[in-house]
Amino acid sequence: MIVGLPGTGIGGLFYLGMALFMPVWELLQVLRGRSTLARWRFIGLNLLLVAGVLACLWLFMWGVKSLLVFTGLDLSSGLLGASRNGAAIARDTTAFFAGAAWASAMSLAALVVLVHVLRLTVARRAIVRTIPGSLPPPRKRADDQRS
Amino acid sequence: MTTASFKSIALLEPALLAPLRPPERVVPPASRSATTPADAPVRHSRPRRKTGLSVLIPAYNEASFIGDTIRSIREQTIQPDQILVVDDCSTDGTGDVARSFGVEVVRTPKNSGCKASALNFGLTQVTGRFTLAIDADTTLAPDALEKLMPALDDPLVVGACGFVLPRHVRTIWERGRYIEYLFAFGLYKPIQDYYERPLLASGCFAVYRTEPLREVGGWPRRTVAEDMDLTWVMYINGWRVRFVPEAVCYPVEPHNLAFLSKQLRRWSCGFFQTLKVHWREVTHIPFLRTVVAIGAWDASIAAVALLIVLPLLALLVSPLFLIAYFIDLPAVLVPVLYRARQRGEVKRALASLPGFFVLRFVNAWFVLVALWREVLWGKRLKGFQKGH
Repeated sequence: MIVGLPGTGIGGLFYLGMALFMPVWELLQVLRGRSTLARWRFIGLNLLLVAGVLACLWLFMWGVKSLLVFTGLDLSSGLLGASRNGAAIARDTTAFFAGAAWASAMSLAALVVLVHVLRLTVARRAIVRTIPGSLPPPRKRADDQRS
Repeated sequence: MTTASFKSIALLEPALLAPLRPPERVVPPASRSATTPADAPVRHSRPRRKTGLSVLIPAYNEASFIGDTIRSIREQTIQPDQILVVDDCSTDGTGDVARSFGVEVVRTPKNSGCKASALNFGLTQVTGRFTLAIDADTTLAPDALEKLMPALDDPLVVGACGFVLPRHVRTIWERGRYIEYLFAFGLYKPIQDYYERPLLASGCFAVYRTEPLREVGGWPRRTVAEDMDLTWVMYINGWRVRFVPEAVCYPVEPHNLAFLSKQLRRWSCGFFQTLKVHWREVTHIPFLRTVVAIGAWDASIAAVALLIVLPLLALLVSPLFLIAYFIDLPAVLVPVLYRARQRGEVKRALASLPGFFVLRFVNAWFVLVALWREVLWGKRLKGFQKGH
């Protein structure tokens, strides 16, 4: 089940950020004795994917900018606007992409802050383990091992 | 509704729920009958090591698909101890088809109209320490169970799920879904798993420890997204759920808009229903709270941008704003092509990309309708409709 729009909105930015944060998180796991080589390989793979995404994003923006400069199309003056100075078009295009990235980053930051404000203000309700006869917490189950 | 009250309500369904702990059962051996498909594998006669795994297959009018599902389970590199089909009063002979494969079939007293009810009915008959729920139209890669089960070696882990890919990739809708899955299961879900919080264990293919599953009252019936609801209940109880990308399953995905509409309506409404039920508890679960918040934001704000804001900007300011529809193409392309290359399906992935960009408009529409219906209007979607 997938809800929402994969790849759009701030989700992509969030997951790129989480992939970049992995080495930091894994260093904490090293201190806790929970790190493994397989986890570092996974982190390396994700960092490569992030690098690939950023490289492709840069190429895409460069391609769009070059196309607009070549055709003389202008973001601000309509479909077949008067041909403007190529440098001006390139500058406007860069500003467009930078604006979009900035808006996404600010939205993500605001959402993270909101989530933490909710965490501090919303009361926690009782969980199932308070029901009599429920299972003990998993950490205490020494016999729960697959054969 | 709290998990505790859900469990109380679940216990008050005598028609569908026998005592939660079933009596000892002897699973009837598979037998060759006149109706057994000729190519169904014969069970080995030498004793084999018990896996403690019971497979539950809820089914309503799945006669066309259930044979493939059972066959793919029989061809697994590790075999379950029990395969139980829950026939939710089908009218197309689903139960008979399943019986012809020599598996155990139970029939609900009346049609429940709800996958969760059918699963819970079957849960009372489960004898294994682990319960695998698989949709009746889903087949598995031959080593899917072998790859999935080790995730439960960790005693803190109560559930695990695998990689989902469409069984058929032909129509534009199936192609769009193929890219969505490659992207989400190839990038998002592994990262969620790294931080120990996969957003949900997909209902088409997920395994649970039977004891905790019974403890929480089985699959919740209060939402139409019982898989997401159950996963979040597990987290709220302090347990873990894992994602295993090597364990692959292939459900039948919507091939036309009518089928797709029913599915997306259920998924979108289910997300908001689950959010309404659990948002208080989820705010106290690290990482999951942010993933859910972002999911809600992207589901709603991005949908508004896609369907309303960008077209207005393109109309009133400049058509070049339409570039924004493809601005995330690199972000999608890189992980998709990486996973496609792993599977030797690069050409298929490239050919399916246009379907992804078409599908996102349909997704956006149904998400906005669900937002209006479930959050603003307050009219809950109740019926469970698979679609095919």
